[in-house]
Amino acid sequence: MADFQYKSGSWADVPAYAHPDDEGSINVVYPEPTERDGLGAPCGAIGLPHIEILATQMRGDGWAWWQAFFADANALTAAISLTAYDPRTAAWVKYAGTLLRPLGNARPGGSATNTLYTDVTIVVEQITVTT
Amino acid sequence: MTLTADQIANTTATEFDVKLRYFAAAAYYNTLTLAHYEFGSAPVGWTISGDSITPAGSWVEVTDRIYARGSLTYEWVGSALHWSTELQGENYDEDYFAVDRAVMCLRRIVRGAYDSGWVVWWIGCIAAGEWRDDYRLGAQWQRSVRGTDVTLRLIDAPRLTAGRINIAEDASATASTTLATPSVEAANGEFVGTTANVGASNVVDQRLNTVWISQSPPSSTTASIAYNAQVPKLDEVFFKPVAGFDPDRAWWVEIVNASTNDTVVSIWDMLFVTYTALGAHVATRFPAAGELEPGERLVICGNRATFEAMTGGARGAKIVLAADETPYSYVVSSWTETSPGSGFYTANLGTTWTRQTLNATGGYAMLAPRFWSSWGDKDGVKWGTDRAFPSGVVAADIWSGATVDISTIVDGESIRRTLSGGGVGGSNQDSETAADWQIETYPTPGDKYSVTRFDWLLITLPEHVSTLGTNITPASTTIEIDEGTLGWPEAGDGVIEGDTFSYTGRTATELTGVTGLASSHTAGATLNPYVGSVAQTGWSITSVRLRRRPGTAYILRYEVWISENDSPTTPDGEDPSNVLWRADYDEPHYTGANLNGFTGLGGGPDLTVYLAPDTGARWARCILINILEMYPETGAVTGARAKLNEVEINLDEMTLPDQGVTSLPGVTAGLLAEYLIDQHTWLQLSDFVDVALTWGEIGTVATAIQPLPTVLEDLARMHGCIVGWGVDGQITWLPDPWWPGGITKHPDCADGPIYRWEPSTVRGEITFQTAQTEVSGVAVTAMDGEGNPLERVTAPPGVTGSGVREFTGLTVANQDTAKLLAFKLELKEKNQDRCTLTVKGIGEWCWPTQVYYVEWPDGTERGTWIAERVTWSWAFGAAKQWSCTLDLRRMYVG
Repeated sequence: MADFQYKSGSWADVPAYAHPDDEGSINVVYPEPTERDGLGAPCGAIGLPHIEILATQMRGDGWAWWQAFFADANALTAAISLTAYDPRTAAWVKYAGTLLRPLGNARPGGSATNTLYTDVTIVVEQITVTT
Repeated sequence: MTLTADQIANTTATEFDVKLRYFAAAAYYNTLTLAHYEFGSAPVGWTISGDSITPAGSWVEVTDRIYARGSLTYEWVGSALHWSTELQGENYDEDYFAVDRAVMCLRRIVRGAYDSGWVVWWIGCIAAGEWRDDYRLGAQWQRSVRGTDVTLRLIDAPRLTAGRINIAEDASATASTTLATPSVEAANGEFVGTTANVGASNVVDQRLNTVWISQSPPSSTTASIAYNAQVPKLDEVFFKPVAGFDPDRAWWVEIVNASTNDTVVSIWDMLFVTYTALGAHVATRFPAAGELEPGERLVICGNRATFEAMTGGARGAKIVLAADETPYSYVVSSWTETSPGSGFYTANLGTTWTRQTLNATGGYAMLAPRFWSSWGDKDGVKWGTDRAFPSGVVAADIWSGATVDISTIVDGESIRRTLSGGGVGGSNQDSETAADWQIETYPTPGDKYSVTRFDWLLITLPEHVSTLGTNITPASTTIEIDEGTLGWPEAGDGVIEGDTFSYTGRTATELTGVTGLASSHTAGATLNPYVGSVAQTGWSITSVRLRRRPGTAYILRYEVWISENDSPTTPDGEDPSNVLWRADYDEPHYTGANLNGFTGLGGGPDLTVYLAPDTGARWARCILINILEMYPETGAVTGARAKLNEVEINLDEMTLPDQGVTSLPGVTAGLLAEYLIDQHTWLQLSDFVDVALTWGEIGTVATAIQPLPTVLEDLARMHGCIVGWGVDGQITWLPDPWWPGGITKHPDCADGPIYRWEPSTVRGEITFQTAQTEVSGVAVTAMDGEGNPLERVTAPPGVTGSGVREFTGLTVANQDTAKLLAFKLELKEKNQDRCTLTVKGIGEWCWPTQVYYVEWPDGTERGTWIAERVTWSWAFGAAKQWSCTLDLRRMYVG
């Protein structure tokens, strides 16, 4: 079993074509401090951690795999459980959260599969650790 | 005030999350019951689970119409705390964002394991703003939202001219007379009774102006219960009275002939048997020829007086027997027994019936033929701990089920035949199992309430007694009254021993400006106000208002009648068209129909209705309240009983004319502010947070019409108070920390500064400004209320030179007030230090007027500061931003 998994009944590997490419990432992103306190130490990190999946390139079938989580074309969010790499603990952690619509630039090809998506950003918000 | 551990943790938090949700009421702000929503708590009645919020009432979520950025400012300006917030959004809807509409914001704070949950942050009124239609973005809009002061600005009130308010004048006065509070109120909060006179003898706790007349919110009950068996059945058993009632006397049992045809059942020689607290079985034998017509109900009670005090009696009941102190019975509707003589309650098993308590732990009640096992149908119910029926009873004939579970029963509840499950109107509700029975929250003995009848309550005020304090002669210009002058008009006529006189004013204890006395009178003589050529023994009242707690039923129509008679005729309780009794009451009376938009008492929580807000005072000795119609009603037989939870009668003790000069001996600034809110606004008294009601007594005030916020600010300024238009919509009366002596009384600093600011708890830049002060002191040249100039006073005393700032044109009560004002102004004017800092965490507990202690790392700038403005701002984009900024002003004390 690979590290990058999602839960559909049981935990299963995310298909390779839906992975970010080598230049991408699967990270838990923590809110950044917005200010310094009176002693100069960072503070003011507003918000909660979220998962950010970045892919400089993704094939059409990978894109479609992520879209399949949504109930219909108008849904803006979908429930999802998947693993992500937590840089603070340097470990893969299982999370449940809310998947937002992936963002990316489409370069239409001859077929849906051949459509290439670039600069793809996939965000999962409101994450909680799950099993 | 002390910070909670979570607040302190939030103060230093480096990671946290704040969420906001907005709701529109689809209603105008001034129609809201603000007291219903407690600041810092979840809205009452809403269903909240995690981020799922289901509003109650007309509230509609509008979060998706509002941009996720904004700010809220809470500011101390002059003597008032104002708050305002700016909202912007799209998809404008007139139903939600029109001016004067109400909008509410809920906030949820999450920090690590701490989760505040969704709580009310503010409720406000949309004050002003603009919207425009944009072809790309839809109807964009922006709105300012403000607190109570926005809506109150439209309300005129008598303005209290500053110069007439005297801080230390007329120190003593009694409050008001005590009306009635029956004994049960002390323990249960309420008194039960519908037709009893309520007198001064019922007072137990000295609550002012309040009469409690009911037990609980009523429930609507359905039509008569029907059973298959056409025999008398036990219908309801009450054995657990509320505190304040003697359990020996307060129990009652209801028996019904529930036959569905015309069968008349005989109860002749039947026994009613029960199990007492002493463990004894006792029985009552019904008299010869006793019968119950179909639908007829018989109520047996431990003691008639207690029963009536507790329940108001069984409606429409005919009292069968009143022979002695032994139990009394009611028969509802009619009673065919015409000779209830001796032998009615004679059969005893073991002990006497009188003053036995039904066992609240467990017992039974049973109807049985006198010859237990041989013939006829029987009926019984057991509750709580299982008790054996008396020997000779064939239990299998009457009861085969388990006992009724009363483990959840509370004081004041009964057990009764279930109205569901078994069915109504012919379905079997006599399955001989515990499922036939249920706990009844609102016991209703006897007949059900019918709209063809009406309930009434007669409130008899105590006699207004005035006794001459010292001897007077025809030359006397003052008359001293032992009981005080409360209840006497500000000016008018009086009569003493048939000798009428006029007076032009009053103090707390004396009538002044007396003329017209024809003879001498000695101390101890009785005197009365003389109005309409009548010596008034009642009270001058300004309003009567009724409150009813929310329930399934509410009052649809009612009347209030006022009488100067101390024992007026009362309605017969059966026929509202009977007008004979009305001659004893004044016209006009006040009815629900006179109230525009009034849809019934109890439509909202603790709805308050003014019956006579604008008609001035009326002389009253008795107040009759008729409840004519209840809702819901479903025909001839309805379930809702006529009850009120509270009747408040306001005496004419603090009436302010629109213009003129009024003496208010002993009245404090807080009481007067409360009065203004009570009498002139739509707010409830519970919306007025009386932090310092005892502050600053008032002597004489001059009045003129002004918007209410102006009036309250005047009042606050002259008494060293701050009027707070709270973010939660409430009005708060706070001591002013600038006022001399106020610092020690300020609730936030009674124990010193509530939070000590360290550099690590401050975020970002700290701006510190100090201007070279050119003020060496202040001088106040004021005049009193009559326009007479007062002596110029300086602070510090004797200060001279070009640095003295002059204040002229001020109006104060007297020379002492001018000195206080000078001292106060000096503190402010000599102070030029300000600083701005941003709280590191959420700052949810920061408010203006709080006193802060700020310490710089090098220790050079430290001391106490007062927050003049708190601003929260937020932008919830991809990266959330939140800040809480405090504008502080250095405080010099002394």
